[in-house]
Amino acid sequence: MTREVFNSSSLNLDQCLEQLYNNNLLGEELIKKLCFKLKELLITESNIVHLQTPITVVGDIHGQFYDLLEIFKIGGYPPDTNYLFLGDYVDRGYHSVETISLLIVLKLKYPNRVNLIRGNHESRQITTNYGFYTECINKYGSNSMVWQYFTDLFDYLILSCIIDNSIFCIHGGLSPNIQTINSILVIDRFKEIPHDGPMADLVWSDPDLDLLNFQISSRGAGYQFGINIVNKFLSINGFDKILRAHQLCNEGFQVFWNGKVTTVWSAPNYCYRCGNKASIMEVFNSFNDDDSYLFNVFDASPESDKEFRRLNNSIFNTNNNSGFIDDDANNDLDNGGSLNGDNSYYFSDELFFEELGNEGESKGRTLNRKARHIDYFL
Amino acid sequence: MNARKDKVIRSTDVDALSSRYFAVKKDYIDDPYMDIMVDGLKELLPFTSNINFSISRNLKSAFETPKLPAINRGTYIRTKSIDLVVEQFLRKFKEEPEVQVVSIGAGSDTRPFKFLSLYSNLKYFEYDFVESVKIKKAIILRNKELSSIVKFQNLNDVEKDFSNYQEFLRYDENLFTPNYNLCPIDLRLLGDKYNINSLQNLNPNIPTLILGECVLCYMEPADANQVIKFFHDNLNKSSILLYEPIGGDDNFGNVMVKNLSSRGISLPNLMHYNTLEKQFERFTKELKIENLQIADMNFVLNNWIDGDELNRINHLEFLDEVEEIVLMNKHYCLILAQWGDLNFKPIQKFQLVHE
Repeated sequence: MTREVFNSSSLNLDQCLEQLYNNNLLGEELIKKLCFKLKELLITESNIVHLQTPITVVGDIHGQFYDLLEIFKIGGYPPDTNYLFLGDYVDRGYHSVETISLLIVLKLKYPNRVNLIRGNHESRQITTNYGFYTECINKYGSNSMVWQYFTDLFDYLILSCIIDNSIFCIHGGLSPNIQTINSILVIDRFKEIPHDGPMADLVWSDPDLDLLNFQISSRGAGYQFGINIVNKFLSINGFDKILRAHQLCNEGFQVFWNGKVTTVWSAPNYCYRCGNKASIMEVFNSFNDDDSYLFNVFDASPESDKEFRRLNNSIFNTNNNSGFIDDDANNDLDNGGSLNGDNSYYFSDELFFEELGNEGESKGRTLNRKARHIDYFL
Repeated sequence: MNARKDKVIRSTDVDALSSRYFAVKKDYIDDPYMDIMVDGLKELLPFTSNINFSISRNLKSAFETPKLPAINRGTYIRTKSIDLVVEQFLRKFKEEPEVQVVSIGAGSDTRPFKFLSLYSNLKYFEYDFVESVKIKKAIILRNKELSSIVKFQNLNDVEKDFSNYQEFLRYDENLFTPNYNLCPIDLRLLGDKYNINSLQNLNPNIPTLILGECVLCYMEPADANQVIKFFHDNLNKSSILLYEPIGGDDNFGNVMVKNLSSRGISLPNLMHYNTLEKQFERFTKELKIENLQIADMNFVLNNWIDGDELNRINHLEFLDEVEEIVLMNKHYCLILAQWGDLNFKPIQKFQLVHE
């Protein structure tokens, strides 16, 4: 895969799209301009945006770029299909930059066909710890401002959508501070997600089948909420159902309380470890019967799997033909040459190298520039 | 025995140590000996091979990249739950003249120092590959506090350890003190090359707890069972506590096998004894050990940790995905088996119990 970095002095969205669909990164100046343009657009949007069916609802993507492309293959490319994305575009997966870049360009190009809600990962604090910040530094260098541009943009993302006046959509869930949607409208969303309060709850809370009311969440933010809360919220606001994401679902989606709350999860084999399926929810109308919607379930795309294996090449591969930058043969390791040159994209945390004929098996030294290991308890 | 495979298995100790290191850093667990082990390992591990630059650079990174919160929480429950059982055991037998804890595949575990400081009737045995044993011995003897805890008596006469590969090869590998034995034993040879008399100072007739924390899982089922059988046949009043991964019957185990195989790590038992029920039958039917208690780590987390402590650890870090840690914990279990009228009844509940 070529990792060209594409820069352009003027904003040509079609060119950007072409670059991104070809797995190329956009240059830093371009990212800056795109984020600025999108902020200009989003500042005019309310905390709650009204949409109409037919629309396809997408849950967490978490940097799994190839699976996002798979979603478009399955569900249709914008603008042919209307999309509502429920947040969590970055972190955990290895291609958060490509993922969010593509979504930004699509939103700019098709503002009425692509809608982006803010998830709990669209935050400075979370992205510092869950991979996006590290990925930005790795791909653009430690002096780059790319992470700042993206996270400043995140402050502008809308908080929720209502489809056909009857389906309420948020990333996480409900809040004890929000009885009616008016309480959402008055939130000043243009800031980092707070630790608590209504804005935090909307992106952090989870439904809980065992509960009636609210309970403190074991995530450390937001609440768990039960059926009484759901019934009250739907009834007061005149909604039929709540669509949200935020929680890993083994089957790609999960239906609570006969459909009053539904989770859509769109990152298959999450973290390259969970082995789960993913889905997108195609909503045709709001008559609220079984034919109104369809869960389109899918596994990790073959490209996603291939890319992951390429990045995690076995230490036993003497053939370091991974197409990865900075093949070991070119590095002066014996003199303590730098592991992370300008071209390296990922930190290596591999412990042991193949040693030169040490055990009579290996033939050559192979330094694998790898993504971080998938952690298990060993 | 495949030397490379053994090396990879030994490398999992660094994984475990780095996981514990970050859990300690974030205040999940308390371990005053952690820095001594980590610093010692960073310094000495490079000498255990004739090509060292790679090891030191990558060791550095193993202790620089913090673990994600889900991993910290899993490390917490793993460490804490084993500590709870060991504590119960030592408390129960604290009036005995002598009790034993035998840690197989001990690696860089710091439990001996913690428990030897607290229980004067305890004799602690650690067995592992020779490389791991030599490093640990050097770390202990270089450190006044650790040497004193293990009652090492010739403090003025400590042999120089090693500062290069040649010296490492020549370094004497055993450490015998009044309360601590550190010996190189290839566990797969228990019963073949080693009989009970090869395990010096181990008394088969006093209360003993064997600890196997992610050790037997790297062996073939037959080899792993032979280890358990060896202790069962030769120790008369004993129990074994295992922390083991189980493959489950969902896709998680398949993905785990694939991911780990790309690191050269294989877990032959993972899909073989892949459920609590299969582990149960392993002991009751194959090994004929009747007194058995098993629980997965979700059960342990929800039943062994009180509300205040649970609240404390839940607020140490934001947890991105509760489901992720639930899923992972579901695929690890604790197994406590005993024989010989040991009568060790920990207060903690288990999921599957057989008397």
